Amino acid sequence: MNSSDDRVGEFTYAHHAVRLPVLIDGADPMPCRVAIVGGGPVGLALALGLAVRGVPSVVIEADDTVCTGSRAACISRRSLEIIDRLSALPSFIGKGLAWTGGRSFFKTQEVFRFEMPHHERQRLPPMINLQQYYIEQYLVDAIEQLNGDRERALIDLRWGSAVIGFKPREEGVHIEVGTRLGDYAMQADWMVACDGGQSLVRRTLDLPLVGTAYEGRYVIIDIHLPSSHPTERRAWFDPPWNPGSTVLMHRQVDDIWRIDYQLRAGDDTETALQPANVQRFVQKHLAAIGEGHLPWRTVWTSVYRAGAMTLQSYRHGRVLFAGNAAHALPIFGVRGLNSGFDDADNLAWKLALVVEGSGGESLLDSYSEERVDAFHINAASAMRSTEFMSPPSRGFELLREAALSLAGAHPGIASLVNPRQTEAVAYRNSPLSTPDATGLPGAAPGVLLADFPVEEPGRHLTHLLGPSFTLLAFSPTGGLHVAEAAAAAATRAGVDLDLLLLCPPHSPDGSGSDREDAATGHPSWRRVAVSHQVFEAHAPKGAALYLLRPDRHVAARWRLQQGDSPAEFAARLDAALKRACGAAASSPLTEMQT
Amino acid sequence: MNLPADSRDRLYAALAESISEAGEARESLFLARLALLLFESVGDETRCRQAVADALHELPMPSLSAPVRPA
Repeated sequence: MNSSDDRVGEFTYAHHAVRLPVLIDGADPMPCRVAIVGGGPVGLALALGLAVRGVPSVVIEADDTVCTGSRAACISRRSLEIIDRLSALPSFIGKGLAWTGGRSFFKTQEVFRFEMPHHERQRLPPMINLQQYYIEQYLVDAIEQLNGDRERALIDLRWGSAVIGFKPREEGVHIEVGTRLGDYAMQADWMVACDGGQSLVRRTLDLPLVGTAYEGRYVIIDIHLPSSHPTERRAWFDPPWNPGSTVLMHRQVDDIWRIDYQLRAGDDTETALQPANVQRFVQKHLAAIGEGHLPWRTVWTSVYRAGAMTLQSYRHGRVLFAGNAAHALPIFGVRGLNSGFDDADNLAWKLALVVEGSGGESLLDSYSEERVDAFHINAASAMRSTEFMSPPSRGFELLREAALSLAGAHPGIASLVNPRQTEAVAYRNSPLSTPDATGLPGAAPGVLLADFPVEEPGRHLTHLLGPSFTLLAFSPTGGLHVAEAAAAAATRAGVDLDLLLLCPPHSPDGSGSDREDAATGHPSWRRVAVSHQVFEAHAPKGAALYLLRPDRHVAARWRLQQGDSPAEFAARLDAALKRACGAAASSPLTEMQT
Repeated sequence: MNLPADSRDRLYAALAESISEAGEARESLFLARLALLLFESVGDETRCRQAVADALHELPMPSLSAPVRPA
C-alpha cells in the first residue's frame, strides 16, 4: 500500500470515529446474535443479508475507513443480483463500468476475442468494473440508509475495532475487542470470520488451508490515465516490450487503469515495485499500445501470488468462515470476491433462519458443504485459467505457446486462450435439495434459476422475488388447481413462502383462460405474465412448480397434472420446504458433519 | 480406421521432413502444435488420451535421436 491520500480519483475516504459501546465491568452487556469479524465486502454483504431478514449484527472492523487500492475490481452479474437484494444496486450500476468481453494478443497479433454470455433482454451486464473501495463504500452507504434513525442500529458497524482474542463456547463465542480507546469483551451467539486472507480467526483456531499454491507472481499497478479506450479485458502474452511475461489491462472508474503483469522466474518482487521500475514498465507498455503520449501517474501497487486453497469446513461449532478467510482463489477469472459474495448470500438466509429458530443448525453445515463444493468447482476453472496465465511447468509453457501461436487461425484451439470468467455455481449435491423426477429442462434442484424478463416493461423475475422462499407456478392455462392447498402450506410452514403464478402473455389476469378453479384468485398468489420462451425453458409440457430458496437456487420442482390431488401436492411441498430448512437429518452428508 | 500402408509411409516422411525443417530449437513447439491440431481433428477425448498415454508409455531416453552435443 503506497497511497495514504484521502482522495483517489473522485473517491474521498471518510474516516469514522472509534466508538466504545456502553460497558459494564469492561464488557458490552448487550446481547449480540451475530458478530461479523471484518468489515470488508463479504462481511458488509453478510450484515446486510441478515438485516434484510430482520437479524441484527455487530461488524467489527479494524480500520477506520474502507480499503486502499482497487483489489477485487470486477463484479459479476451473479454478484450484482446479490447486491440488488441488499438494496445497494443503483450506486453500483450508476458508477461501475459494464463490459462484456475482451481480447488476447500473442506478441502483437490479436489471437482471441471472447464475449461473456449476454443478450439485450438481460437485466444486468455480465460484469462491471468497480474498485473495491467503491464496493465497500456503497455497502456502508446501504447500511447507513438501512439503519436510518433507528434507536438501536440493525447493523452496528464498529470502526477502528480489532478482534484481539476470542473463545468459542458451546452456546456462543466470547470475543475480546481492542480499540485505541481501550479494550472490552463481548458475547455473541454466532461469530462469522470475514477477516480476509490473513484471517486472525483462522490462525487462532489453527485451521489449515489445503490446496495448491503456485509460484507465479503478478504485480498489480493502478495508474491514473486519461485514456478513452473502451472497457474490455486485454491480455498480452509475450509482448515484445516485456518478453516472456503476460500483461493484463482493465479500465476502472475515475480514469484509473489497472495493469497486472507477471514477474518472470528470478525477478525480485521488491525490485519490481520500486517506483523507477514501475515507471519504466508502464511507460514502455503505454508506448507500445499507442498511449505513450498520455500523462499518467501511479495510484497503487501490490503483488499477487496465485493459489487455490480452502478450509476443509467453513463451520467450526459457533464459528463460521466466509470469503478469503475461508478460501483463496486465483485472480484469473475473478472468482475471489465474487465467490465471497456467494458465500455471504448463501450464509445470510440460513443463519437468519437458525437465529430465528425456524431452521435447523444443519443448515449451517449445508452452508459449508455447498460452498466448499463451490470452491472446488471454482478452483478447477480458475486453475485452468491460471495454468494458462502463469504456467506451472515446462509442459504448460510449451502447450501454451503452441496454443497461442495456433489460436489466430484455429477457433477450436483459440478457446484454450479463453480466460473463463466466473459463472454461477450449482449446488448439485446439496442436502437441501429434493431429488428431481420431473425430467424438465432448465434449472434442476441445486441450480441457480437464471433471471428472465416478465411481461411488464423493464421488469424481470429478480424484481419480484423477496428475501424468502418463493413457489413459482408456471401455468399455461393461467389456472392452478393446487393454488389453495399451496397457500395453506405456505401459511403453516414455519418460514415465509411467497407465491408467484406465471401465466402466458395472453392472459395476465386469467381472462380467456381456464378459470374453473377460483383458487387462482387466492389473495396469497401474485400473478405475472411471462413469454412463451420462458415457458419453453421451464415448463414446456404443462404446468410445473419450482420451489426457490432465498438465494434463488432451486430446492425442488414438480410437474402438475389436472388430476393430481391438492392435498398430496401440499404434502410434497411441506416436505421439500422442511428439507430446504435443514430438517433432512437422514442426509448422509449431514450425518458426516455431525 | 486403419491408415493404408502407403499413406502411412508418406505421412512418416512428411513429418520427418517437417521436424528437420523446424530445426532442433523449434522441434518441441512444432510437435506440441501438431498434437493440438490432431486433437481437434480426431475429436474424441478417449482416443486422444490413449494416444498421449501410449506416447509416454516406456518412453526411452533418446539414443538414436539424441541431440548432438559439442564435445
